[in-house]
Amino acid sequence: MADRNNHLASRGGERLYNGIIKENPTLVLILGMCPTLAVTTSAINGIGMGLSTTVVLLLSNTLISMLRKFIPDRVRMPAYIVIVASLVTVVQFLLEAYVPALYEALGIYIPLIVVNCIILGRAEAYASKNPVFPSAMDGLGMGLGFTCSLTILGMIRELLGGGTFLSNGATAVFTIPQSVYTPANIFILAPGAFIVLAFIIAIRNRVIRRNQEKRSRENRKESV
Amino acid sequence: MNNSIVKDAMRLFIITLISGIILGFFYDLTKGPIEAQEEKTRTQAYQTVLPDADRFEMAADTAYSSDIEMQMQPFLNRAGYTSDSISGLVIASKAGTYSGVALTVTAHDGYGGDIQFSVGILPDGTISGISILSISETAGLGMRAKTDPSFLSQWTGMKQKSFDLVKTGGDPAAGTVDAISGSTVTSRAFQRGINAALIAFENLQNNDITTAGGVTIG
Repeated sequence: MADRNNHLASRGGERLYNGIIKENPTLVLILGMCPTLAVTTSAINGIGMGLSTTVVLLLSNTLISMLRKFIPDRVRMPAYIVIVASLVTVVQFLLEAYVPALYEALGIYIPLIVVNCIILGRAEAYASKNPVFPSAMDGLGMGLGFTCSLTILGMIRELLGGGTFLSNGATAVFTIPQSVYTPANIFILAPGAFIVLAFIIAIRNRVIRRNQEKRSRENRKESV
Repeated sequence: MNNSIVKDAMRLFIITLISGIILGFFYDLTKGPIEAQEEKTRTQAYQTVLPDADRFEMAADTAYSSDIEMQMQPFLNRAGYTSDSISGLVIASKAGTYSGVALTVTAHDGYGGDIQFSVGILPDGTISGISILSISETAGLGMRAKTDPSFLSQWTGMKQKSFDLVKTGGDPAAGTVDAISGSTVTSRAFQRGINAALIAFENLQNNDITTAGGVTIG
């Protein structure tokens, strides 16, 4: 039993690592580009979109994994869409009714989550073929990976395009004085999103490749 | 073969049926609280633009309540504000005495579609506050109208027949306000919308508009 628990825990950890680093949905799988490019004008926006997607992804992966034996293979897509859309709508109702402040902040992102292809992508690629616990962890990992990428992207765009750091619109943690740096509006607009995203992907690829080369060199040495 | 199609359809039907029932249940559960929340938001918006008032009412005459947009449009058009409309009028009172109006303006000339905001005007024509109800301008540019309060606060406490937009160095007390840098279209939509509200206000004062509670404009 302890062995089984250990196994489950390590599998969960592997899923988290996979979602955040190895198969990061934004930077590696290049999924969910619409919300990624559209909402990351500030770091706070990125965190908001990322965390609300994480919650839905965790729930949808869990539900779809639970129902994976019941859902017929040939009509799985409409079944997934119905489940995800219902889930998002229920979350939206509950937020609007009982947590209006959070709804006010996340309101515009919630309908966007339904059409986020990460959710359908993970349902199809993972949750439909795996048990509940790893599927839930996969959802959590993918969600957190999405959140991390969006936050970094938002942070860079906000800094270059608005001259602020972690601003919620009215107040910021710090603001670069206009005399030191004049914000370049293009980073707030769509072209800036593409440019910054491309650089982040390039840097991530380079770091990962370096690590792999280092590891394979070490392996070679050991074998000699 | 035929059998399996029926089986697939049945299962999909069960999934949609259960989803529908769950949705209906949650809709019903949250309907009341959501309506209460919306009502609270509306009252809060009036309260922000007219902080001194203690009661907000619609006009008793439907021409100035549900048909206010049709009633006001000719005056706005005549003044050249064809892309703005007045979509709501609420009459405020304090201890039963008329203390101002809150006009809901819909500006159709925003960069990202319609912008709706509420303008509070005191009986003497002073703007007491502006509050945005819905806006979908570009984040980081036009959206600063909402996120940076220094733009709309230029109008607060000012009494002018109309306001002009300048790039920098505006003096609201003399009828000029600063545009948001890089967002001329959004700034213009607000400036014109607020001017439209002032035109409507001037026109309202010439009519004896009364609420059900007996408060009269003028």
